[in-house]
Amino acid sequence: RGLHPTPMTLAIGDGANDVGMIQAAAVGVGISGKEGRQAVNSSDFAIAQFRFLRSLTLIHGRWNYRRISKTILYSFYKNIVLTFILFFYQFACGFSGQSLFESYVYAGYNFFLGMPPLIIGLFDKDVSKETVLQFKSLYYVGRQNLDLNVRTTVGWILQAGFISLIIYLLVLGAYYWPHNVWDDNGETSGLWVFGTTVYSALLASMLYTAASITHTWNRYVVASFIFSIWLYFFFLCVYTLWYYMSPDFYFVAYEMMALGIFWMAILLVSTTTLMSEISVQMITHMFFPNKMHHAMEYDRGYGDGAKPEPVGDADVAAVQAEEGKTGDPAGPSDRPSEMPTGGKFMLDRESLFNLNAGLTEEEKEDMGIIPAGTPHMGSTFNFDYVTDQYGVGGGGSSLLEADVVLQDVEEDNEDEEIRMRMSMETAEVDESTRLSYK
Amino acid sequence: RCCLKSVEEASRRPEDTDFKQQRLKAWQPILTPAWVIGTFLLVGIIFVPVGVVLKGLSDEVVEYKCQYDGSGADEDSSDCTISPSCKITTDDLTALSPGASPDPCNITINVDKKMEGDVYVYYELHNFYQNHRRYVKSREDAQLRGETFTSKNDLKDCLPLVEKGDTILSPCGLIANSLFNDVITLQNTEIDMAEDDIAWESDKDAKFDQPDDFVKERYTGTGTATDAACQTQLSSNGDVPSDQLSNVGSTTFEGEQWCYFYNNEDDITYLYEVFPEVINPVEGVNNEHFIVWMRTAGLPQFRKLYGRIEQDISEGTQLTFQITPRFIVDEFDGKKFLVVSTTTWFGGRNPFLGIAYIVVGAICLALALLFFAKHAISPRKLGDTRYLVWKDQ
Repeated sequence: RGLHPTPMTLAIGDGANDVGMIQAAAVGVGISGKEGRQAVNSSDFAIAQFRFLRSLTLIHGRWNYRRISKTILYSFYKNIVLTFILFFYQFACGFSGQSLFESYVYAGYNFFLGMPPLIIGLFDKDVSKETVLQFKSLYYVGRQNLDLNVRTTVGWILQAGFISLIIYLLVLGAYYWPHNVWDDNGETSGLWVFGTTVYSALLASMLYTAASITHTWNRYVVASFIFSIWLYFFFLCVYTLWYYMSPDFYFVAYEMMALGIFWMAILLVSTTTLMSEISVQMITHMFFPNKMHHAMEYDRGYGDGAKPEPVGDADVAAVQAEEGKTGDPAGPSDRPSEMPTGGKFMLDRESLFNLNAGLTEEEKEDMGIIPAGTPHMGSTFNFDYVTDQYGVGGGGSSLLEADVVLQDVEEDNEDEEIRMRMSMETAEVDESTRLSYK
Repeated sequence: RCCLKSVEEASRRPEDTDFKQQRLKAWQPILTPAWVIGTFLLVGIIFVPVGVVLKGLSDEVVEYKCQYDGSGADEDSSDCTISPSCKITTDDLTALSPGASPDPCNITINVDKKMEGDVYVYYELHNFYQNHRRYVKSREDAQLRGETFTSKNDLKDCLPLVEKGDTILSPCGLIANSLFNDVITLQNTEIDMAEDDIAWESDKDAKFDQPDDFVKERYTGTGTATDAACQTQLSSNGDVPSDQLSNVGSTTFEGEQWCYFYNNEDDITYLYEVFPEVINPVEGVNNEHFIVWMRTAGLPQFRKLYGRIEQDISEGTQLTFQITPRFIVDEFDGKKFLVVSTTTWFGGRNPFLGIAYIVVGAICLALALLFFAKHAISPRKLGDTRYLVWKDQ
């Protein structure tokens, strides 16, 4: 409180006394276990063991941040492109407000394009778990808010303007020159054939855009793209025969798909959209690379060595234990070790050591820091592990750059109370367990 | 301290499936210079020839376009000879005595390149916004299919044009009642211009039908049918109310004599009454020119199919069309054209498509070259882990 800018706080705890802290923090993590469910019920995330915090924030939290930003930006983007195209058409229809797209075709837009952003938001992983564990600095993307900020939003809007112009002008050009004569049987067509062609080109381009920002192609992602395409054509083929729903659209889809110019226009527009997006990505890759480029290349095996060995969840603890012995694989940080004043409060292993080095035993007790090696009753925290790492004991965090890490402070009387409540709640726990508890 | 896992904890552990443990097999592609250069090269190599082919096909289309009304119509064109002038104004129309037609004009086209059939005849309009929102809306599809409407309140979609005087228009609406009513005929004796099969089959089958209470019969008498003779003939027809027999009429349609009856002529103005020079009362809304017109164009410069010549036109032929103009364009600065054209598998002459493919293909090739140059001259080390360590933050 009182710091500027307001720091992002994470609080973690397992007991009823932690509920207030968990609720006050921006991200509250509850540990489910011996102390009951109070902390878990009031938390944003519940985990089973303290050490899972690393997984929660560094791996899953990071993935989630990256992919949900993508989903958000893409969802707005596709609708901005749609609207820009409708706007551009006004120049051709006397600004009368005529829609290029038939009403249900238009209304289906977010159904046809709904699955890909959803599935990407669920599954996309920019780099594998192993790479992140190996280079924990990759956490910086979330810390520095690099994926969802004013700059990226404006960038996507500008891209939307550019792409919508391409889509509209290319289809317009293709359909304008023959002046309504688009069929080899000489028949003339109309507004809905032209409009639905623009719409189809738009859908194809938007699917290509989604594909170009997808890093992970698992079976669900692939299925969502195929499903979207299928859904659109299925809808077209059925809806266009339903005279009573829309006399305007009757048979339009079949007449449209029989046109050679339709397929040529779709191919041209979607390929042009894809190529322009890839060009921008490539230019960034070549001339303005950032850490994530290197990280992803390393992750796919293009880096110094072979791809990192896959690590199962069960081995995470082993990895952590390994690290405890040898230190951070990237070498110790050379950051200054005096306590920073104000601003962001960066904690790494060394700083923590140094922070607490200057405190007296009394000060430590006042702050709730429990001396190393103190056996702690009735808690599920693996304090031995933590105390060995930092030499300070208490609920210290692992190598995360949280702004402030609040510690859990247990008081002996509360333990007693909780234990008694526990033994009443866990009537089904067998005798032997209860005995060893005492 | 208790290190035993309780019974509860063990059973709450999530299933160890690929889906729930988020380790589904996935392809994780990444943009690398090699991949991108290859793709751009491929696209360029495919698109440029495709564009060349399309442009070539488009250039094969033989098209003659003659402007016969609107500003610029008087200018000499090497292809077209117009005499006398086809231009018409509203004043010309109002000056006509009832029942009289405007003077027809002739357009002669000199065909200097062989046209392989089918050859199509179009009229082209400029600056006519069939795609204006209020225009597009202004129709009643149920009425066009034959449903009878007696109250103007049921025809709100057709606003602002629902009535003529105090009779209801059938069909109502701006689209139907702005029908292009120039009459174009081909004067060449050895060449025929067919005016059927010009509209979409689906339109003809499903969207347009005469009113439910419309009656027509071939004239069974001898000689030319008269109104009186038809009234006698149709008096025995159960669908014709006896008090409306005086509304029965006679006409010639496609070389035959017909008797017809439209219900409620006093309260409803039918299409053949609004456009007698184009619409025969026997066919009414089934007239294909009308159906073609009702399919509103998407852009303010458009063509509509008028007729079809199902034979080759050899080089040197003089095509002579006679036009009886009635459609006024000078009030909105529009233009009228007569177009005679062959087609390709992707429609009329379309230089844009071919050129667009060539341009996009060329840009892709240029980009492939650019990326290749950058990659060859100063490649970037991929996956450099030095950037991923704490120090460089």
